[in-house]
Amino acid sequence: MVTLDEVLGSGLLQKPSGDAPEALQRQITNYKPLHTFKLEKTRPYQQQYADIYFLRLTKIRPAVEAAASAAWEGTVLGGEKVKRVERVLDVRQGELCWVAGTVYMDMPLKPSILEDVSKDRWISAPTSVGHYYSGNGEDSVMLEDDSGRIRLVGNALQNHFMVTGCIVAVMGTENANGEFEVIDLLFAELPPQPERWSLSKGKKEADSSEDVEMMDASFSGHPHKPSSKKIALVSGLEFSNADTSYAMELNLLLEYLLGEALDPSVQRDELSHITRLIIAGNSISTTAAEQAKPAAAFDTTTVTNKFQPQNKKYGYDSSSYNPVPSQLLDNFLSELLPTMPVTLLPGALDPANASYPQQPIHPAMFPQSRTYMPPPKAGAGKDRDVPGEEEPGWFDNVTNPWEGEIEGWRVLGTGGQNLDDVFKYVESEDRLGMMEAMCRWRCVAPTAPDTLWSYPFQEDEPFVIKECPHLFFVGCQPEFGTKVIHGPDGQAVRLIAVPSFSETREVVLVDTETLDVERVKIVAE
Amino acid sequence: MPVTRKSTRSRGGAAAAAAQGKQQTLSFHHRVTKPTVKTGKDLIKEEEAPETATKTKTKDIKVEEGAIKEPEPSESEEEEEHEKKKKQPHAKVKKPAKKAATKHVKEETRQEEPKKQEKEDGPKRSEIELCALEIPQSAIDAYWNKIDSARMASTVHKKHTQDLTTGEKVLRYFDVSSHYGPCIGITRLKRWQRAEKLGLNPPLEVLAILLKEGEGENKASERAHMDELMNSVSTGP
Repeated sequence: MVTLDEVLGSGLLQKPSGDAPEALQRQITNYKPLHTFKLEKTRPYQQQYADIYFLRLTKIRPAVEAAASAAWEGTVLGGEKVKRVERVLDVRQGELCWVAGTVYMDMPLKPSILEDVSKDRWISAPTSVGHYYSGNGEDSVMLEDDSGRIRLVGNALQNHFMVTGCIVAVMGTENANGEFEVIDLLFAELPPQPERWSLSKGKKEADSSEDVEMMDASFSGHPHKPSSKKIALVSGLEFSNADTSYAMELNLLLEYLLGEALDPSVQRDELSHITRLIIAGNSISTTAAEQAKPAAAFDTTTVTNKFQPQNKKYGYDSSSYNPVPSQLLDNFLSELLPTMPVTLLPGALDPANASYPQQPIHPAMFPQSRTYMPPPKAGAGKDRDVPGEEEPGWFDNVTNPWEGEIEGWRVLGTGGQNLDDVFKYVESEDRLGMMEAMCRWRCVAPTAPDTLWSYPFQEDEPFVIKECPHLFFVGCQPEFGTKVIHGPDGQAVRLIAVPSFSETREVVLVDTETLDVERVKIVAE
Repeated sequence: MPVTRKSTRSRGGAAAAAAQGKQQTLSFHHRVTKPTVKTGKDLIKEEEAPETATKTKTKDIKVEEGAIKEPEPSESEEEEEHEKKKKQPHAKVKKPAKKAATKHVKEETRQEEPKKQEKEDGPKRSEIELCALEIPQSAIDAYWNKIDSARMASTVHKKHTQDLTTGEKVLRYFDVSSHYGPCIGITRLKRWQRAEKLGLNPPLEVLAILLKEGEGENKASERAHMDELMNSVSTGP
């Protein structure tokens, strides 16, 4: 008989090696979310949307006019000097002038509430048209302010992206048709950019000393020897019950983020450097979205039943509710959370409110991951509305769009609805160009409230970008893209279009020191 | 705690207590109908009541401050410390039966409240409101005359504006100044404050009129006249 000891030497069987696997540690990133887009729970809806346009114009107009007067002051064209005109309606025929206002795009394909009401059509959900851009000359661009509107024409318009809601300054003259012929066009450009660590100046020293105490000797938490920390960005996880084509990749993603995938050397050098995960929207996929099925049940409550496929009560079909996707997401997060902090932005398909800015997903959706969130504040109901200075929990569910500071860099991110809506207005496919345009317009969601549902802000409109972020990411995009754009005052913004994981199986890693971007593709064969 | 028996519970509190030989306990759960001075806990809750309510009250107080000038300041210093220790009774509590002395005291304490509120908002706002309140009626009339004379066409349909006071005319002019934003769906005071916050320099005279109107709790001039016209519902035959 062969004894175990004999076999041992030959290499066929091996006792487990006595040394325990090296326990890797993650570093902690400095994280400070801002509550720019948080709305009160008791917000009124009585006001009209005109206030949004007024607020946007008033806030951005000074910057646009400053840029325009710097560029055009003293310009002489055809013997005539350019004059500044106060209001849009003050433009006179034949006079060379410049004026600032809001752009309005008049497109017949754009869904218009007035048309729907006049035709007496009852649509429960907005019919999502692919593109508003008709391209056959029916679209017109207009410039508007509180006095009136004027149509813009000219070849200079083709060189720039224009959507409803962006603030521009145009120079030109009024022609015989009453239209304004544009010679030159200017935007507000990037807003002033704060320095790195501007929000947490005092904390930086405290953190670095803490790092030295808490970390292992083998792990360099020393401030002057930065080990590259990375932030992982992912979007479109789309946990669902029905579609399991990417379920394997989701599992592998979990292992990758946990640091259990691949071999120990890669784990030590790369995977343990991932310090935070930001999920940028569309974590749950509903069955209605997956199968865009046509009319199923006959609905007798409305006259025109063509537009009401299922038997809907209160706007949703309760028989098709499936709790499994959110449970799957909860399992995913609760396995990941013990090792890595997570920031969750809601997306178009997530269970958050439908209008922009989307409020954080309620903790009730995450029974297991809830333990990683800060406990609900005790006290009167009103106190709960005030976003306090308390530490965000390990699991931070945030608004969409979201602004915050990670490792000193100002980060602005959205779940993709704003970019998808801007995409419908223009002919090009250049999504990064549109992201750049949004930064230069200083507005995160210019098409709100025209075609993007939004809350009617009255006092302050948070979509205006007051301070230029260092990193701007948009989730749920069809493909990955990244670019660095520069501003007139030396601002630099890294733009990242985060691809949808369910389509592309890709994760984006951002280095926290250099803001370099890596793309990781997870493939299961 | 003594062990409760099923019989005790089922019989009801008073009867049970009587059966047990204990005294009947008083219940403090019904509403207090006798007017009382509110204690600290209630005051804290009321202080957190919506801003607008307290805002109108602060205007209330500011006007009184302006009106009752000389006797107050000397007393205010003395009683300020005294009052700071006491919790301020809310402005809503009005006791017609109280004497003049206590009324003085209350006005002092009401002064405290807006100061305390203003501390959170910053001293700037109360400065502006104070400046606005110092504008006399003659200045407002002069302001209106300046606007009126700047118009090239004179008012044709005088019959429509005959019933309006100068104050209301100034307010309506403020409403249609689209420079400060749409006037519908927002109260005039909030619109003025929003314009102020955005740096548009709205005229101080308008604030003066709004504060004076607000003192009388005149709901009619709270919103723009156009707002009422647009929101009016016509009932057909």
